[in-house]
Amino acid sequence: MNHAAPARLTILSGFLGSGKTTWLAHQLRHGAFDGVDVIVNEAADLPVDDRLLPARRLHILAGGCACCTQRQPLLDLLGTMLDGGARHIVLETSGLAEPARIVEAVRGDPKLADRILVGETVSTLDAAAARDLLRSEPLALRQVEAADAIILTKLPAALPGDAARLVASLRAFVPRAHLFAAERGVEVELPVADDIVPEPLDGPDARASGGEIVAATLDLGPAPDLSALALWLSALLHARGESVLRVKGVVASGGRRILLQAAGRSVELSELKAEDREATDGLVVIGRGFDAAALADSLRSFGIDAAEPRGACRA
Amino acid sequence: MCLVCGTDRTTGLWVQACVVAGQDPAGWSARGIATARSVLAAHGLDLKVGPGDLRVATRGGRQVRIRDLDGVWEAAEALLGHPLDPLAASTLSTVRRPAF
Repeated sequence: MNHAAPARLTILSGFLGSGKTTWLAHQLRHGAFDGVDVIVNEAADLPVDDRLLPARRLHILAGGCACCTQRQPLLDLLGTMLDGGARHIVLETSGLAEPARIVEAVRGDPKLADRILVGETVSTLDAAAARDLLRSEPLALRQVEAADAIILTKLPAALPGDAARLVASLRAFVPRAHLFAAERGVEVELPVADDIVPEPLDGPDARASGGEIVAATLDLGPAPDLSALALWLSALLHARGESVLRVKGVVASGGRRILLQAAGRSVELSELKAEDREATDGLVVIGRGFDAAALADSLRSFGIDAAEPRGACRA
Repeated sequence: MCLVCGTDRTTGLWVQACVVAGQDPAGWSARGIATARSVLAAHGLDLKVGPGDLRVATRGGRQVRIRDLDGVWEAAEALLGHPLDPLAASTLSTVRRPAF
């Protein structure tokens, strides 16, 4: 019988591009999660977010969400980590995962139930996109509903009145959740919302399915033409910015390795550090309303030798 | 800084500023322009390039001046009356791979 105090599990969820990794990276750099073991879960089978996290003990669970296709692998991994002495585990879920289902799976596993305690579920929420997102993405709404703490991100991009109304609405909709705000991981003040009338977050469309979300991983070959890739991405985001939820990947250019991330129509690039050179090249496109095979066809029409997509995860 | 062209940019598409400013030691402009032309041609459009000047044009002579290659798609949409969708079957079936 195991008499040791249970280890603690913190689940960090949030929709695609809501700033989970940015927030967690800041906490890890500044000691807020000192000594934790981190699991990074990614829907696609090309892990990218782990490159951004300065965790000493980091485990990757890629190729599906921890709430569904990677559910059993998550439980197995948690068991292995506990056997190895882990005392506090932070699970950063994929942006397509449902935290409530993960909590249910952990609590319902007879091998884990008395060894690990789900301490809290934290959810990041893009303040600028929240109003439309919560009305159109049932998954985003469920992530917020399951949260013990909600961290509003990207506040400067939101109109002040909208941000205050969002705060008032979240307080009314999820009264048990603690609300915070953070800018690139640094806590900032929440907008004052004392006299703001909340509005319903679950609008008429929020409970309906917005359509199947596809996460496709594309192999771009050993040396993709970056100018062509840039144009392709520019065209894709211009024509389909509403339905392409996330693009991320690692591409080689001129002897350098470039980490690419896009959320909405915003693209960010950074150069990988020397110690990350073993990162696998490729591109992950997550969105709805398109066929994964069409992505590869389209890239080829732009002169990029993309192989057929692999590991398409559907949520 | 743009990792491709060295231009002082921290965010945004990295096609921005790489072309018009002429900062193209690696032939970035030529490849980007060739790719854009091949895609535009499939929709009856052309990309006209002059010193410090980029324009998307119809065969009939209508033109929209653009600041950089990232502006190609907005200009194409204005000229075509609909977005130029890189995933649309009409694009996939008609674009010829650019020859560099």
